[in-house]
Amino acid sequence: MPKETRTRYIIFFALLILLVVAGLNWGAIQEWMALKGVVLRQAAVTGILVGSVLSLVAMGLTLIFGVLDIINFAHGALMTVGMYITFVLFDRYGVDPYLSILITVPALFGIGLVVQRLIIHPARNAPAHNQLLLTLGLAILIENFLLIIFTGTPRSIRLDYGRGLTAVGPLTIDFPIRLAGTTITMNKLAAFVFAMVLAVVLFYILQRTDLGKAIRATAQDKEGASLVGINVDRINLITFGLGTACVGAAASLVLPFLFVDPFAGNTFNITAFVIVVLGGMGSIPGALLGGLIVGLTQEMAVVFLPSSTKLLGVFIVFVLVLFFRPDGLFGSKS
Amino acid sequence: MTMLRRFPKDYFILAAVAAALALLPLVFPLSEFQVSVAVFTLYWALLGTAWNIMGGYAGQFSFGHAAYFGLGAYASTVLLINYDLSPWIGMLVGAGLAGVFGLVTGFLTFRYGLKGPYFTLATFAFAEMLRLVSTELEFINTSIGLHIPLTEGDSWSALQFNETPLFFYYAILILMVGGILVNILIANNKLGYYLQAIREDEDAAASLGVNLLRYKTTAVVISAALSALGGSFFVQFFRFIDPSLAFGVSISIEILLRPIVGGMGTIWGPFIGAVFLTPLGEATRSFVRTPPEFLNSIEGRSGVDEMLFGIILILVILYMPDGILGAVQRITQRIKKLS
Amino acid sequence: MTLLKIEEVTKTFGGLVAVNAVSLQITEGDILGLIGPNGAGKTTLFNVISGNYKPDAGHIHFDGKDIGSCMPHEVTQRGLTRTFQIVKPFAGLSVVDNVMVGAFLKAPRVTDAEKLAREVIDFVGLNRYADQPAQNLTTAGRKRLELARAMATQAKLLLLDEVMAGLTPTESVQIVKLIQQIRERGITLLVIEHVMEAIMTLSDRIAVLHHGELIAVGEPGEIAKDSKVIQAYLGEEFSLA
Repeated sequence: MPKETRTRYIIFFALLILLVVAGLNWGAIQEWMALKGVVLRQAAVTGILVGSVLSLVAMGLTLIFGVLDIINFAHGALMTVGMYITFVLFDRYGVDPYLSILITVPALFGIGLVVQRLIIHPARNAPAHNQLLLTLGLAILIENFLLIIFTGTPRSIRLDYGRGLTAVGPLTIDFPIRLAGTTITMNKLAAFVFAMVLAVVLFYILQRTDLGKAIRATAQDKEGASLVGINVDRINLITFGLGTACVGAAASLVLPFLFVDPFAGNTFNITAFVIVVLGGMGSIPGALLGGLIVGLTQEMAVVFLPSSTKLLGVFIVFVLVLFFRPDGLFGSKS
Repeated sequence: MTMLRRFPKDYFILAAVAAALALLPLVFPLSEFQVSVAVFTLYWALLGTAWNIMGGYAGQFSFGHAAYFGLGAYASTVLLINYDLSPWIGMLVGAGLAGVFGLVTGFLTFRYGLKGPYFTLATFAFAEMLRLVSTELEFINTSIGLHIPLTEGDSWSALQFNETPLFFYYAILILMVGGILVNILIANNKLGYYLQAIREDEDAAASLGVNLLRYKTTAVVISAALSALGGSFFVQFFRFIDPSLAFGVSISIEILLRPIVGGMGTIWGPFIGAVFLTPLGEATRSFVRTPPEFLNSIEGRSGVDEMLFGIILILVILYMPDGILGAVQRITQRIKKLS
Repeated sequence: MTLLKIEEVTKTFGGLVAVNAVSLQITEGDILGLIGPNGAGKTTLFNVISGNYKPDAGHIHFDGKDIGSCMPHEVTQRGLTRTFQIVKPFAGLSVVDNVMVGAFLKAPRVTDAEKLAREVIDFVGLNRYADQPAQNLTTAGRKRLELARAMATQAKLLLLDEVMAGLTPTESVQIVKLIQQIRERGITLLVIEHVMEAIMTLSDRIAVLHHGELIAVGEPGEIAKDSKVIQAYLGEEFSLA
């Protein structure tokens, strides 16, 4: 029988067995849920909040893959750059990280343009693994450059607002918010809100503007796009910048609750790849949904496999997706 | 240049290089530091050669060779610590273990049709999973790592040389020559041709009777086994292993750096890449330790050598995508055309 | 004796029936030409025979054995080798290395494989380029390489997919001669071709596909006059009936 049908049978029977086992142990499961229920809920909430930022990173990566057809190994390193920019702006000039989005986004956009023009563009006709290696070389370059300048000491920032009663526009919210037994901190909530807003902005650009149309056209068919007069080189350039701008924003959003060191972008890199494969390479909605799913998986994995790191759960999902559904949830390009 | 004429030539070159390397320390006495640079050079050449079989010849780009390396490293170390087993035998066990791991993961990835970037990401995922899992395993001491029990003096059977580090150089020389010998045997026979055919065009290869699954997996198994030998050697030399050193992504990257710079899919590419990059890296590191006056700000900072590697990688891919050997070949061809 | 027997082979893609219950036989030593307008299903049929696609219905018997479920490399191992319409040279290898890949199938030892490869290269007339990179070859050269590689597998039956596509008339004439020489060596051939003169000259029998169906089989002379064939190519108005 064809592979796909066989896979479906395997998944079906696995789920069936799971359900049977669950049914037989329902009492024990109920007890466990009562015990761990709160932890699970917290994991779910944190997972979605953090997942939104992962979505943002992944959307940038999938955009680059969809249009330029390259796997950008430097994505995480560029995010680290954004994080350091945000750090320096806060540490030296007292710029609020959420405000510095206005700086990191254009800055990373610009850096993306430069990188594409100088490094990616010259190798556009080279075999795929060459382009992979280029971005890898770039990642090594960036990470170690940051290591030289900032050394390996982890840095963090601490905002002096966001605890207790905080004025948010017309509202006054008592942070952290307690909702159904879970705790929602201001940092993570802000990250979620901003990430979602930026996602909407990205959608708008891609769906409603001429630039967006050109980008989508190029992603679907490079030759066809150039035949109708789209300057593919220019679109490649702008798209790379756009993808990098996404991590610029994400960088500013995570600094309030994460340490930054020269290799901080690495976990985001790995996770972004998993999300992109999960959501379907080149699919923006896939990256959005995938980010939330992976965020959830990360946090939930720690509940079920208490002594393992978050990453292992992510990798297990990754390998499963690669084998059973490599085109991802919204698989388009293959 | 027919293969018939090339056939003995490769073995002669190998013999000549081996002899030259064996005689080198006798002609130019090396300081302890220089010995360790030489050891690392040959060691990366071995690992690069192993990677090259899978990545350069078969065209299956691996970003997770640390998996095989680490399995070899831990296998021989655990056997040494718990059973007093000589690392030379332990290394064979490690090679077997890595080979099996390569067989299973290779078979799965190829059977499920993972190609190109998906395949590369899968290899990366496997290595990372090994790393994460090994930080939890008690019997390899989790993330604390394992130390080689130190013995006195020099011992070939225990692969430990406390008085004469030069013997490490000869040990790795033997391993490296062995690895390159395997490479030559592959390249000059059916397996090598089939692997390159697979690299160039899988459909065409299949249409000529090449069993893609079987040969791709074979390449992985051989590549894995050779990498494991390097892993075992590393622990004996460094006397310590932990999950990051064994399975870390930086190992995977360093492994593939040399063959790419030297020339993928060639016998001597990894060696040349190692000879070029390793001393360069060491030189850069010592330079940073004691830089001249006007560069005092970078004194003691780590990362300069790695950053240099990143720059070299970019430059090589952009301007010398066939590596150093490829560039040399192109120049000699141009000279031939002119004459 | 019948070397290849295709029985009621059908292949569909989604809703499209590309090959519809086609039955054909090829006698050993024959050249069977396969023609038909574009989209008739010729290459699909090739792909089913060569194992690249699995038939949805029907059987394929080669040399007495059912090869319908064989993988492409297994089909070749049994003595049936195909070429590709858009040539696929191993660009990074030399011409002789290319052909050796084919030769290794029946000549596992390197020295034997090289000997066989050079023989075949001489036969197709690529001697001068034997040690040069395959990517230096012209289109005509690459076509010969494709032929040489396939021949090196010492196949009993060769499937040639539009070997003459992209060649000048002079080059086509040379290829026709080459194919005849291949047949003289005892190799059976199934040839897809659009160049009518060539296929008419070459073939012992011709099969015509149209919309996935076999509409005519017979000698070249008969086929040229067959009204169904003319209708398929030129449309209703030109049929003689």
